[in-house]
Amino acid sequence: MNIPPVSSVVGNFTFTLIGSLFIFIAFAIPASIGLTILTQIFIWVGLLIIFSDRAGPLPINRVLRAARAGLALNVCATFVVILFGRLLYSGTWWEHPLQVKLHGLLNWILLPLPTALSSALKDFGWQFTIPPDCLPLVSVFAFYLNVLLYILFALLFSALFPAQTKTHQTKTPAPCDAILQPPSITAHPPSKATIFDQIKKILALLNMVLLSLRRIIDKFKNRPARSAKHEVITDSSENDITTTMMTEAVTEPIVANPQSMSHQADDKATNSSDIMRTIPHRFHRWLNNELTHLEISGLIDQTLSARLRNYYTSEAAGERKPLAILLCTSFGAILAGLGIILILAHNWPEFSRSTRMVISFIPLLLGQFLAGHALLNHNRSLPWREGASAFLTLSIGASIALIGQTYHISGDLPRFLLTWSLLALPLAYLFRAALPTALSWLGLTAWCLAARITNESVVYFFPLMLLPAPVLVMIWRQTDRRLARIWLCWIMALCLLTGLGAQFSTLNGFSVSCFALLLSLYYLVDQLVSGNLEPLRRRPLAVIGCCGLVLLIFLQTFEFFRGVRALPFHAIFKFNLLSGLTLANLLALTIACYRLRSFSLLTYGSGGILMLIYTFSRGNISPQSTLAIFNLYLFTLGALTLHHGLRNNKMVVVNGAMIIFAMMITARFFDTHIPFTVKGVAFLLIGGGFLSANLFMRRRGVAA
Amino acid sequence: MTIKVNLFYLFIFVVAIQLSVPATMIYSHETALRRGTAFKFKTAPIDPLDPFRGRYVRLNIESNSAPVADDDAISKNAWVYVTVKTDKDGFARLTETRTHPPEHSSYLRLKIKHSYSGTAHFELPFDRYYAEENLAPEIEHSYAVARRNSREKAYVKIRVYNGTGVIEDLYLEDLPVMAFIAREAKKSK
Repeated sequence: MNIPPVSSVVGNFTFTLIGSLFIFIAFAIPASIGLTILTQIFIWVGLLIIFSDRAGPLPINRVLRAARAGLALNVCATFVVILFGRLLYSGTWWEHPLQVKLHGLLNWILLPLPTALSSALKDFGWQFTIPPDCLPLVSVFAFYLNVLLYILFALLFSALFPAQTKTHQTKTPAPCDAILQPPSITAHPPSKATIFDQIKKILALLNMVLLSLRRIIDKFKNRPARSAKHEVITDSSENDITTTMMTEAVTEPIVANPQSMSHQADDKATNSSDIMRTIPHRFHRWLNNELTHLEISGLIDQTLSARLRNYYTSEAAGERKPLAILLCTSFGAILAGLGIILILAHNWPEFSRSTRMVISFIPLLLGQFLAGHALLNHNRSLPWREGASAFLTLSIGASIALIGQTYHISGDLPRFLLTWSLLALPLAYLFRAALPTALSWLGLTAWCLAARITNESVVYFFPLMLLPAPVLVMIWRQTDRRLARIWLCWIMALCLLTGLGAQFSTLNGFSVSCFALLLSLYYLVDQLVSGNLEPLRRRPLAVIGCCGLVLLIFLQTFEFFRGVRALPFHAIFKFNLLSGLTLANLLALTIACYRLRSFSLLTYGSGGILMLIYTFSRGNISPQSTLAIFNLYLFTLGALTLHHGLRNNKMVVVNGAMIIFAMMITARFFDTHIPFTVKGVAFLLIGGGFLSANLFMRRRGVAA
Repeated sequence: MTIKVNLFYLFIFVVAIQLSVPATMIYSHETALRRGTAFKFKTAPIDPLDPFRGRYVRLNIESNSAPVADDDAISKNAWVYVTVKTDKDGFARLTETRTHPPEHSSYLRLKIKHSYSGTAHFELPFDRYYAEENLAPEIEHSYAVARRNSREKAYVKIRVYNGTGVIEDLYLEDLPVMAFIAREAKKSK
């Protein structure tokens, strides 16, 4: 039985999801900050992520490689030009004539076609006038021509310097790659490239694109990974502990469904001690007890139970030790870094300016030395990487702060925080570490808040927040870093929510819709990535999404939201946060419904869209019916959550539903805007409904 | 192995960027202190706290606005060049707002906070004086005492060079702040 490993399918999917998110964010960038270039960059980066090397079993040949390289080069070039321009004209640097000239030169070298177009428009603008509405389109066109130019360049480069096939061989191909990929395409002899060869290659590329499309469609149709999971659940749904145990097993890289497992056990009966499965300690204890019972009751014989006992081993207590070391190192590094910041903040009057100059470099150099040592000599040790990068991150802040203190540089807190976070951000990538990622997210959020207080522009917040996101994906795919994954998810989700909140000054229809959309997007992404298989405590996105949505809807059931204006429908067609979030929501909802074949996720998943629809039609709905709608919606949410919790025997979910009901009952009991009689009748009816449900379930239980 | 080396080169690049930021900060401020023209800005010190950089005295600088020739040309949050001149009392005054640096007089590169009926108000880059954590409240206190006796005269000496203004020292009653604190301490004994 040939099942492609879960990691490859999930990886491919995750990358596609992240890439699409980038493309959607492109539409969320406001037009006022250079729509064309930034939007293009985001679309390109999205494409790059979707087709990236790690994204799973994509057929790779030279043309695709060249296309990717060309795209990447164009992204880098545009970034360099924009960054230089921003620095030059925004007050961080001086506008020295030489610098301006250098900027022009960079423009010509890195982005020749758009620069040529703009200079031509400037010089010969009087000859052919382009209507101003078309200008962005023209410039987008020029940028795409530039991408083509880079791709041609990369092709030429790869033709002149053919890549060595060694690197291809060292990379272990994914199992399904070998099955699906025709061998004729992978074997590319590094021969001299003629035009004929190039045409052949392009045809091969087209063939490959079709093949990969086929494969994606097949994946959607068969859904091998998902179906395997469902099988496992249906087979063992009688026993809750078994279900959780099996689902735990499925989340691990080696997929073993019951049939193949027993098959394996039969095959390898002679050397069963070679194959072992490590399971958590509590499951192992439970299994041992069960096996003893089964043995005593005579259901299985002694040899089988011994074999099973051999097959499963418990996670030794010693395996927790690396985690302890990792935690101690991380905390130690963070505390050391913060300690340095605090000690320097004392502002020692004994030090002269030159001493301070030297001192301000000491923590930075120390951190860099440690980090370099970790990178060169302890690249495989997680505690080293995390600790050193966290310490370096904090020492950057200490160094800049000390200089600010020495020269009495004004309290531009936002700029300080932004510089710090941006300087720390590459460390997250270099060290594949969770701490710098978390710190830069926190720093960016702090920047957003501080900048909002001083009324500065924070439109770059969401694009900047996306920059460390690939590190999270990288960590997500490493099965042994569950803790880091969960914490990073918490931090990212809360930071994004805080940043979203900082964008708005009031709680109006627009902001409420944005919040609801983001929260339901959290829920949907969680459903897509981890589904209901993981326990709730490992799914921060689900927790935040559900709790947030319930709170938001609960707030809507109160009177003070009555005066909010309706949102005009055309607002959705502008390039803004709302349209980006809506698009992302719709896409995630469609994919989730299609992939998971479950409509129970519509409860929370459609919350954002429903809120949006309500905000559009607010003008036509009376306040009374508004209250009725939201009460009903909240009640439905509570009832469905209760149903879900009871059916899957999840006490946390049941308790959540109870909290929803308790909140509603308390609020409505003391609500002064509804007449007592109406309230009384409603309470009686709902209470009666619960009682009859109880009666019904009891009857059914007796009948069964 | 190759991956490791490439990563290390990238790391070196990142390290260089990280080092260049403090280095540029030091360079620009140090040149301003060494080559800049000195100006005195009248001020009033107040004490708050910064979580990262320690305690400082906030300087309420009096001369923080200048007339604008053309209101439309200058928007909010724009960077402009403001000429600095010394008035007849010997204190600095911002006199003129331009979009390009003036050739012969000293100037500051400032960000406009808001402009209103021909006058622009600026965010001055030297509105903090960082001091040792016990000293900052003391500066504020002695300033308040001096003020009660209506003999307060506080100013801050700024070195202006190529648009950058850097604080050289804070003066209370024509004494550098450290000397002033020492004198006050002696007096109270």
